[in-house]
Amino acid sequence: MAPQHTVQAYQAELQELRDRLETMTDVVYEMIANAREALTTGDMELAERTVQTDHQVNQQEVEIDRFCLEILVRRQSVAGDLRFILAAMKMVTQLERIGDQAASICHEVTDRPPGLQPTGADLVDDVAEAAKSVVDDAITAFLDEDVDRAFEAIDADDEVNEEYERVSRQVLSQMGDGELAVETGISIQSIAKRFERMADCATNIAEAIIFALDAQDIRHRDKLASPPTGDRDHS
Amino acid sequence: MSSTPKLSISEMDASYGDHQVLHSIDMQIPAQQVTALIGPSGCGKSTYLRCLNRMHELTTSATVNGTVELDGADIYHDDIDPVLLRRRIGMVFQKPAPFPTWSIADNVLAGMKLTGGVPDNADEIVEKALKGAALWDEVKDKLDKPGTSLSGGQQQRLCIARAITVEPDVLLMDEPCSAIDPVATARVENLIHELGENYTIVVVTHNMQQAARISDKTAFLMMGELVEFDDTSKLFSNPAKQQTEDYITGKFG
Repeated sequence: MAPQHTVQAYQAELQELRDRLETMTDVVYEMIANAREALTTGDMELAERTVQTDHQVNQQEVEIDRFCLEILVRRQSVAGDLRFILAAMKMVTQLERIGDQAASICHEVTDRPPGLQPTGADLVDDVAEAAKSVVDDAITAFLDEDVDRAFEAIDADDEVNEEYERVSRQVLSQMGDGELAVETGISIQSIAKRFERMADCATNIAEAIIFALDAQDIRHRDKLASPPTGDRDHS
Repeated sequence: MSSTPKLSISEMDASYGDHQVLHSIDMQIPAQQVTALIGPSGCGKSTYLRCLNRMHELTTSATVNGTVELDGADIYHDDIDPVLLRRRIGMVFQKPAPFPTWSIADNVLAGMKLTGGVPDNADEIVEKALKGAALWDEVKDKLDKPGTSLSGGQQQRLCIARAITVEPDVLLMDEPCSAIDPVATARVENLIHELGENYTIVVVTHNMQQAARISDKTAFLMMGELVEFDDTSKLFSNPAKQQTEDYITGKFG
């Protein structure tokens, strides 16, 4: 077992932070599943319920941020603890945004004009599946403290972008051919974009986890003039 | 930033009789920067500090092996006069200890009085040292009052003034804030930061947050061994060694 903090209350606070993050990831993960189901089935009640859940996620964001602030004030955290808390604050922001995207997808279902069928919902299946996979990797990387898994999440984001491009082209083409009503086409395009954004948020979570675990800041790594280094000596 | 170290320590061991307290320390202390030494009680950090101006040998049965070079010259060489060496490498102690019966001005001049005499421009020297120690404005109208009439924080800054009067190259500070209140601590920390621009400072502290606040580099010692020595921002955000991580995050086993 990893060494424990001599101040037990501090140890307990860090554990509580981890538990709260886990709870929030559970809620957001379920929102994604529900949004996909509501999209496919047109289940208005489920869509409505998912939109309501977003308020809970917003609440969690604010509470976890405040809890992080309290820990920093009391403990003046350093090293791995500090990186974990900074990463937690970034994670909650990204989780809240993923929740927003799921809620917005549900709005597409609830706001659909009466009589308009969920035609074409299957068009977004692949991008939704690819996005879910990135979120899966990011959340698992957090739960298992697995840096490699976090890198997998980042790599998998490329596939989501490709799927999104593919949906866009297909929607345009089908609208052009008159196979898809313009209103439905725009709705599907918008939904696909929201899944693509979810994967971006999950990628940001993965980057925060890599920073917390390995002290590497890999954000914009190909684009910075002099990337910061954080090589860790495990001796 | 200077690449030549001010103090170069290699394979330094220190003992009290049969009890070895420092084991083969290798460290290059950069010029005109603040270097903090942290570590648990008994890890040898105060002994380490006292080896750097040959105060360790003042203790009966104390021995030092290895080399300590100041600007490339071995301070343990037979030709070196320890008293003169200590003018170049001054020391500030945990508890401020001005000479009790001496005036503030005489305390500032103590180093000169005790090692050869006070030059004609004594008033100028006193003013410069007290300004350097950020104490001038508070004491300029009572320079003839006893040093002990000052508050604890002021006394500590008086001791710092006393140390810089002889224009040393290096200032060693052993827990300089542990006996003074937070306001005085802030003033002394501010002073350390300012002095670090002109002097090479090595400061021992129990307070890790203080090390993080005031130093450019931090060394972590444990059981008489140097575990890690790196830039302070690196050591406190991403220490290389697990022992360092456990100590600075408060996992004391």
